[in-house]
Amino acid sequence: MVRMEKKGKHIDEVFRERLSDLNVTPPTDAWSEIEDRVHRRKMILFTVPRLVAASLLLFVLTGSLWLIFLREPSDNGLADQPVFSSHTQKDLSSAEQAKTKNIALPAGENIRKTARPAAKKGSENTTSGKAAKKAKTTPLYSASHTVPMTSGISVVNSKEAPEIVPAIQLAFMTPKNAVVLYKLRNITPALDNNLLNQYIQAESLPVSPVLKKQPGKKGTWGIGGDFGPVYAYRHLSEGSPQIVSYLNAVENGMVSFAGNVSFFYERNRRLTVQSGIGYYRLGQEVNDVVAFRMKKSGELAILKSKGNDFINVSEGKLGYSGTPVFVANRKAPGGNDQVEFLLIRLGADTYEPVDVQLKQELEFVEIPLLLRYKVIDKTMGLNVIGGIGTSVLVKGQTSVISDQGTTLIGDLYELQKTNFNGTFGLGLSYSISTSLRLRLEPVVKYYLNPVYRSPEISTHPYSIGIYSGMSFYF
Amino acid sequence: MSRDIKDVIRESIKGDRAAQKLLYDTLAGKMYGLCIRYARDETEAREILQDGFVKVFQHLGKFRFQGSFEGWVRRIMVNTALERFRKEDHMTASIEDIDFQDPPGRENILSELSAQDLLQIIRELSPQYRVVFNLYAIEGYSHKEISQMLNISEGTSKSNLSRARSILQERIKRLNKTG
Repeated sequence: MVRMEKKGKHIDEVFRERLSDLNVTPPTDAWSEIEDRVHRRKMILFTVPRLVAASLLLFVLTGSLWLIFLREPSDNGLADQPVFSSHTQKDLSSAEQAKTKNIALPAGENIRKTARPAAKKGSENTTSGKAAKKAKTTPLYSASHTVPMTSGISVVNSKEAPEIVPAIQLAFMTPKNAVVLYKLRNITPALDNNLLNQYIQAESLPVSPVLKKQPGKKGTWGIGGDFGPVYAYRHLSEGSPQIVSYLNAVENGMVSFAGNVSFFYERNRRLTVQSGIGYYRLGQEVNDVVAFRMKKSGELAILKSKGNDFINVSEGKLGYSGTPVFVANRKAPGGNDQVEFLLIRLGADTYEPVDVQLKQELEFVEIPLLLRYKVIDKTMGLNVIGGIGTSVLVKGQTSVISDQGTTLIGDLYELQKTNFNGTFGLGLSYSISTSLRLRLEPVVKYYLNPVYRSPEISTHPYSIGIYSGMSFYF
Repeated sequence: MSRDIKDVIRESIKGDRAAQKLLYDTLAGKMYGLCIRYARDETEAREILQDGFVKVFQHLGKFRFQGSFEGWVRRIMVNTALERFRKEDHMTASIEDIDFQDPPGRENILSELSAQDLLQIIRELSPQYRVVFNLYAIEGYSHKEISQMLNISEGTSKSNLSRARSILQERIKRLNKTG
């Protein structure tokens, strides 16, 4: 014991003498980074609260713009709207004979009729091009001309509006909502279709195709689903440049998949709100890994980095739970073994190295809140999609890919469970019928908060997916 | 402390880049030699050096010009190395099942080894042994101080030192055979 102590002290002295003032030239570019870090201004980091606040602000701004520019016109804005399509102008001539009619309404419904003031000044030649042209620029009605109704809808009589156009041009007002029939392309669900049909039948009015129900009408609901391949990877921020550089060199994105079931609320023909539930499998592959295969059994027994004995990854901390024992980290949760000492203990005649890959997979369930704006509103339409989502991490695990196949080795630790992401995309849509649409949408999703944070790095997963799906509108 | 170095430190506190560079050039070699003993490789040594010098310049105003400036910087470097070490939580690892035998020795082999050889051997130690050996044998801290710095018991510190010495002897022996 005394001999050991003496020997130990002797070793200590030798190392102290030779190494305590050891002078080693540092890397030549080490200073430049120190200088940068000492003098650079602190970057304004987008923390999670700031990002959430920014997202909400964006949402509010988008909503405000929509309210200002895109919402359905109220009765005050009717003068700016186109009145007739050429098709309806032609059809209307046959219904011009309609003058004063009464149609029963559901009991208790209080409806007002309005007559446009300009009609009083006009002639009865309502179907002439001149009149139609005039109708495009003249308000159809105003509040000062509303006439209380007691039990039904009346066609405005000729005395009040001598040039009155056929019934389909009438303006009806309910206490809650103005429903304007003349705006054929934007008939709202608030209009009682039965009532309209009764009137059309009673007057033998020609029914224009534009009266058919179309998707995109105000207040339409729909459901749908999307599924597609995604390219998943991550962005590293706030980190040590060396660690970030190393991880970027040894890690790669991977192809995975994602899907969702959604419901839609089409506020108007162009703007749709979407929510639902989605499943996203993201992750990455790690290349700087070598496994040691037991010569006798052929099993992969030990796992380590090629350069070090520590496997450094950017998406969570590795752990192992599989058998045979994989040492996926210097200190695996629940395990005692260390790579370095295991290798010493096993000896080189026991194992042989094999190149392998690690595959990290993160599975999220997400509830999104998206806005879709239809830029091109045709049979083949184009949408711009944007919004935010809350996602919950339901699984984080690691597998080893070797020449023996894929082996699950354990879970990932220290990952953020609840996360927020931002979504942006473009969407092509094709209307098969009035109720059914197909979609093809390239979408980018970026996690606003770090899903994994260590002293060296902050990890933000992202995905670029091409989703295909369909939606059905009621 | 010479008058010159004090002036350089004062200029550095004011943010003079040339003075800061001069301070760095003066101490970088020794500090990198220290870092490389605690690190597992050159990349980590460089990071410790850079992190340490950033702290030196950020806290230079706290230096009271009492005692050795080099000693002050050295303590910052050691603490920076220990911070990394603590974050990686090496001390809780156990190797109880591994039997290290004290090899029969030829102590005079030590005198034949170069500083580079010793550095290589020390870097091959696992982190917990490397750190305790560095702190005790080279920096001169006591087991009590080490236990406080690393948040471990004195017994663990002594045990780690003992095992570090055993491994070092084994490696030296192996080096001698291959050499």
